[in-house]
Amino acid sequence: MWRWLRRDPWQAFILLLAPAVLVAALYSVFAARLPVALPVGWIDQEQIPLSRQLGRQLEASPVITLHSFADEKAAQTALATGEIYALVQIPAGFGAALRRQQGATIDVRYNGQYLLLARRLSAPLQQALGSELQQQAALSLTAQGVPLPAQAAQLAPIRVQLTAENNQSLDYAAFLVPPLALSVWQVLVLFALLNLLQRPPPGHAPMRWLVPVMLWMWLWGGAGLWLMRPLLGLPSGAGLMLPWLGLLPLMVPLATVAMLLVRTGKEAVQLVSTGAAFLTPAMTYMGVTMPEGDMPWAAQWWAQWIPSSHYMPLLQSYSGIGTADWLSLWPMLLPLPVMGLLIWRFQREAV
Amino acid sequence: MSDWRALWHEQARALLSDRPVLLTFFAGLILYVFLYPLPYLHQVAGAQPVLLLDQDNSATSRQLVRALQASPGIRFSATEQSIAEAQRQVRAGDSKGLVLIPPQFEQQIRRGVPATVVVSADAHYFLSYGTIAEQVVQASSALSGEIRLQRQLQHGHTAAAYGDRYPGLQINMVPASNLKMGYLDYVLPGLFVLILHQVMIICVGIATVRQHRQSGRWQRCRSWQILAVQASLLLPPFLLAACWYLGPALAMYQVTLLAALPALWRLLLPFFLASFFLAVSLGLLFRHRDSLSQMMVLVSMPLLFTAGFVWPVESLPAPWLALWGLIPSQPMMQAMIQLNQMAAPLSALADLQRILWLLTLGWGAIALALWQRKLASARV
Repeated sequence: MWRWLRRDPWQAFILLLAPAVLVAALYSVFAARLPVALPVGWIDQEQIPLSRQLGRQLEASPVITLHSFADEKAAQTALATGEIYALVQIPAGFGAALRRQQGATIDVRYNGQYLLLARRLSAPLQQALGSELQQQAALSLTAQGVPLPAQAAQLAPIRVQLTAENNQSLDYAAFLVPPLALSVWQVLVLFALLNLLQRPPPGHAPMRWLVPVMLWMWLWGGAGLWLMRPLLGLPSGAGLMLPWLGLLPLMVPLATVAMLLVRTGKEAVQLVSTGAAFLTPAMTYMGVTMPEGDMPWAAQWWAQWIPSSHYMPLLQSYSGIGTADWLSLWPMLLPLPVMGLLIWRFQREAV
Repeated sequence: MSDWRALWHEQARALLSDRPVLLTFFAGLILYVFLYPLPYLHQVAGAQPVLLLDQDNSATSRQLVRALQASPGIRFSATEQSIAEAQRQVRAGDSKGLVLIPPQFEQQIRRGVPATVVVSADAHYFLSYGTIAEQVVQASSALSGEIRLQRQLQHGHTAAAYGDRYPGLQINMVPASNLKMGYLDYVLPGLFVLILHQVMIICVGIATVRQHRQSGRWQRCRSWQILAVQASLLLPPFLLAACWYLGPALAMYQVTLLAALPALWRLLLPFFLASFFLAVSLGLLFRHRDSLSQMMVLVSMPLLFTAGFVWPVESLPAPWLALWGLIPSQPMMQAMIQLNQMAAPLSALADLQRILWLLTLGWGAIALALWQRKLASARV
């Protein structure tokens, strides 16, 4: 085994290091958990106490770091080059219009191109501006003779209490790292098996090492689940054994695809390209970034062929309530007869 | 000169019979242009299945339910009585969210006390969570506006004293780019640059591995001649592919294209040169073509998520920032988005352009040095 890995350093990397290195690299991207201190442009053309107070309210939000601009053009360029993610502009005459009740507008432009960041900024921007403006509105209502106890209900007759289930802090690492790790793992399983079948240990038939390599990658899957416990947020009493066992049937179609690809007799690099075409878009088909029900039927159909699309909803459900219908993974075992036949063919050829 | 020409003919013949390179180029580019955008064709999340718990059952609560039912982002999949059961269904992922209208909802509004609507959504899925939250806030705001108007009429006011939430003030919050707030506009421009980058590195890289693993005329040429021959054979197909990928292919998905072509190509030129030299350098470091191909597949996801449009560059750890400046796809993805989607002037992208040219010089020098070393070892 050791001799084999020394002769094939790339396979050694795939088996011994790649799962840890890749998942750690992906986790390190989102290690901040939530994007904070996002740069937001600020143009105050009025410079009155209220506008300065609005600026301080924005600055007080942990999500926002305010960058003042004197020049509108420079601010627009900063917005277009992604230096700032949003631009808040207090227009000239804002204070006078407010005093005369003529209707003043605070313009907020945000970069919709950075979609997730735009959504992340939208609520704090509205909250920071809204809370200050609400105080002004309350003052205005007082001036019009609306009694103090009636003001809260007048300003907002209906309030919305919003609760996030499963990922209470809207943590990006919890949102993205488990599905990314799953898609990396299944690509690595496929590559490890392709490498084994193409360049087996010297003097050994590849089938002799098929099960050990699969078990080794399954162990990596278990290690990944164990390390990702804080991100999965499992309910108390829910162990990792079931999700770990759930990874086993996923390996059946992956091993079958690897053996079928090798049976075609094409060059190894061509097999990698074909396998990669099948598995690299897996993340987009898991339903995490776009709900599966909102995908076109063709995408829903294609998702059925990718093992991770079956596993991810079960893992999400398990992390939510501590149970999941793991038996629904049974279609993953359908290729077993084909896999058995392929193993038999490989073994017969080795003899 | 004849050496040069002979090498070109030899390499052109080898390239045309190199099936993995041809397959990766044609099948890869054609397949990915359809496969990646397919799940996002609807651009935004549609009606999300939500449970309704109307514990007030009053005229006002039903008015709110009707407003929610009319929202494009919410579909009441069932009504539920038990909060615990509804919450369990949301946590299990059977339903994307729940809306609870508590008892005495209408009574509180009539008494002039703020009434609360409780919304709970599955945050495993950010898009559906955001859609549900947005729709409930909008429907509640609409109903709040009606309530304020009714009070205004009851009090005999004609002025807008009770009409606005913040009398006399408005927050005008609109996107400056990606006006549709669609997923395709968000993902595709950067992703298509990355696909071109990855496919190019695989094709050029594996062609380079084939070349240096076989003996041939290259062993009698100079390193710059070998590089020039490789560039003349391998760059034009990718320049043509870019004309399709970053133009008609994006337009096919109705992605906004704001960049002037000459400006875009002033960035694409150093991008392709830098990617080409990087690919040659990698090809000269690998012994097996499939290993190089596997490596490029594995680094795709980290490259996509560190490009700066999914996750802010400001929040990336320092090692990622260093790496960001070494891989041509990273500055080019940003440049493409800024130029094409956010209408940035080319003059504002001078830094990115400079990085791309520096990468061309740096990777070019490394590729030359590595070919030199290969030639030296081949002649020993």
